[in-house]
Amino acid sequence: MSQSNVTDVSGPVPRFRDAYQTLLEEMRAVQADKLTIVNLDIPTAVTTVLGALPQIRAIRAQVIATMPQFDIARFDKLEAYTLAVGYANSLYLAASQPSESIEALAEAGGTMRDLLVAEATTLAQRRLIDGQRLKELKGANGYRNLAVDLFTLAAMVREVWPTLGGKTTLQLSELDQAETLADKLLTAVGQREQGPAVIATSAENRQRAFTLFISAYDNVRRVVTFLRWHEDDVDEIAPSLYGKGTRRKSHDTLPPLPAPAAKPATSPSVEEVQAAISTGNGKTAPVGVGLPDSEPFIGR
Amino acid sequence: MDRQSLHLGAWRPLDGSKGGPFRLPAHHLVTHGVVVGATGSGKTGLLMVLVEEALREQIPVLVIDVKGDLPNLLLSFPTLAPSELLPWASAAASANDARAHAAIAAELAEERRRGLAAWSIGELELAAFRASTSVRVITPGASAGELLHVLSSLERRSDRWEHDPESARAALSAAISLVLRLLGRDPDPAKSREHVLLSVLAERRLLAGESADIGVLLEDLARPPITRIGALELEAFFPKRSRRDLAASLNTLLASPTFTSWRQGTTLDVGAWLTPQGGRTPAVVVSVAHLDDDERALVLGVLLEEVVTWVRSLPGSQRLRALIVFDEVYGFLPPHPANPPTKRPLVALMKQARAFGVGVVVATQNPMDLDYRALGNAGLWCLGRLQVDADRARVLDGLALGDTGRDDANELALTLQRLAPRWFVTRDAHASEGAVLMQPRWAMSFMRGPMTRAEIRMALGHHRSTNLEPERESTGATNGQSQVRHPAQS
Repeated sequence: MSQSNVTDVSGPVPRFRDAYQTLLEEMRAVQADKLTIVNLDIPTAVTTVLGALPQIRAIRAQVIATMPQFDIARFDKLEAYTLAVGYANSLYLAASQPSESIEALAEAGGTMRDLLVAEATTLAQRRLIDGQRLKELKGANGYRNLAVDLFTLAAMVREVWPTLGGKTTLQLSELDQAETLADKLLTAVGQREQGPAVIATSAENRQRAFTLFISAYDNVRRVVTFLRWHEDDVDEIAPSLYGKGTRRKSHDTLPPLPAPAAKPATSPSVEEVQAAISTGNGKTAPVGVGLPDSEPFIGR
Repeated sequence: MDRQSLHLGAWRPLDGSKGGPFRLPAHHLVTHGVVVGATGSGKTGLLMVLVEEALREQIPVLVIDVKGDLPNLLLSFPTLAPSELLPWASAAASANDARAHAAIAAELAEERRRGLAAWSIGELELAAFRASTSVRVITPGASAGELLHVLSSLERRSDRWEHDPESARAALSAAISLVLRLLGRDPDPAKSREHVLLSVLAERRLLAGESADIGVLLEDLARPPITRIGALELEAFFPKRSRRDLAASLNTLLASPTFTSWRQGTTLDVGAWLTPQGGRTPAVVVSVAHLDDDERALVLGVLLEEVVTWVRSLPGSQRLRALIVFDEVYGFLPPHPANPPTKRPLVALMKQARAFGVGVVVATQNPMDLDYRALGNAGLWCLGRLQVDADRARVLDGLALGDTGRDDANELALTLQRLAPRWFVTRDAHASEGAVLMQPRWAMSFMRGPMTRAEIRMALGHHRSTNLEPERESTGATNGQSQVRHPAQS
């Protein structure tokens, strides 16, 4: 790899985002009943597949030569699907992160409100501001009320600021601070209320991206398994995302392998591959699952 | 003192070292349970064992089945003979298995024998289980199992109007909400004018000892037998033109052939369903796997409202009186702001049913989708393998591990990531041991997987004929009541 490739950091983020944007329509077209549950750690899966892409691309010519009917366009889009699911996952994580603590903002806002009320009361007694408006304050109970009061109090003092001269200990910066706190408080309340909907949307987008990704990668793994049957190196070229030894027997229900145009002399038949997968050959099926002495952990 | 205990399988300490048999005192389930795990972690198998053990302890069970697996309860054959499995051999075999069905059935039977023997279950236990239980499968809107009259509390007058009018009124309200949802109108009993009007008209007839089927309500809308609703004149509350619109919508619904199947079959009466008959403990599986998402939510909303109504009619109890099991609760108990018709009754059950001795166990592969009130009310947690960080964080939040420290939570998260299939991290709030590993035993029922409607029909026929159970036919005739026919009469 050249030095410029190593130090060029401008590419990756747009690359992920661009892939996501490009595939948005395709993602939305995935039917709800076809969605795959996210059952993998996506960052790990993305790094695994990105790392495997050079080896996978290396057999592209062989795929075209052996299986002219294979959907090579989908094969070529594996990178885009991978980048898109990585970006969808980061959007989901960003939506899931808790926003700035409302409690902390409310505590600071409450202190600021007390200060402003005390000062405004003094100013009202001096008839420098309208005392009636102080009676219209909503009170410190409830985040929204607190935010509205902060805005109101800051505005009341600002209106008469030029006439106050040295008759208050308040600083303009404190009025700014009160408005900022009110703004943050309302934003945090809004985010809290909208949070579940935003999370739900980003979770669904992630699931859609994951469905495209996992389907494309499964396809690639099936074609590599077929082409490299005798070499038995599918896990070196396109590693399983589910870890070794955990492949479920239900893989025998996956769609049929893509049929080659001409049967290569060095590869097994489709039926042989399916038979080998369905019987498991004792290589991957966990022994004694469901029996009292079976291992509680994978990979022990 | 309640001595019922459910022998669910085996337990080990979290480090995987030697443990022993896992016995869950049945009354621990009155504070409800949550089963979470990724696809393939063994959730459905665990639920099946839980249901079987409850039945063995003579606790009636209502099972809500969204995926189609739990009618497998019909496949609890009384012997280990391969012939029992012969009808299921082709379904269990892989597509390219060229062996004769008899050979496949023999292999399945041997696997079943070995698996059950490892948990000390032989033909004696199988036969005893079969002889002491009665399994019904209800398939709303489909004749594979028993049809369900989802509007029975509206269209079939119940004795409850005499001795428990409050619960009858609540059931009526749920049925009217369902009708209004089907019409695309506001179903909220507290806000909807349509709901109030139909409730008043229906209740008037039901209190007078009549039924209030939709046809009759149409007549009442055309020629109202009342002049006031609340403090207002009927004309001011719901003008004639609006009544005519509502009547037209109801008539369209009434004429729909699809809707006809919702108004036939077994009466929705959870109390009667869960009453043991002939010395057999009932298991009632309501399977909605064949319905689309909207239909599922509507039907299960009405069913769960009926369950809440039934639960509230029970006297208080500290022992487990009945168990409600809901597999694949995804989408039916979502966090705020989503509010499907199933959410209110489910939350109500998880908050209130414990006082009446009714336990609720829900299972999902997506803990992010569960309402926090449901999570917070669960006393038993069974966590299968979870590979997604956010899912692990969510269930650890639900377990309220804050008091035990972040290190424990991190260790538990790692354990969840490494769990093998059919192993669960289990935490029982009533037990002092804290979290342990739990492995469910082999299910007595043959786990065929999701069953098609044809398979349910076949399994029900076989179950009834070998169990000498009465056959319940959904005739859909004039009164639509279920008819019971004993095999000996056939």
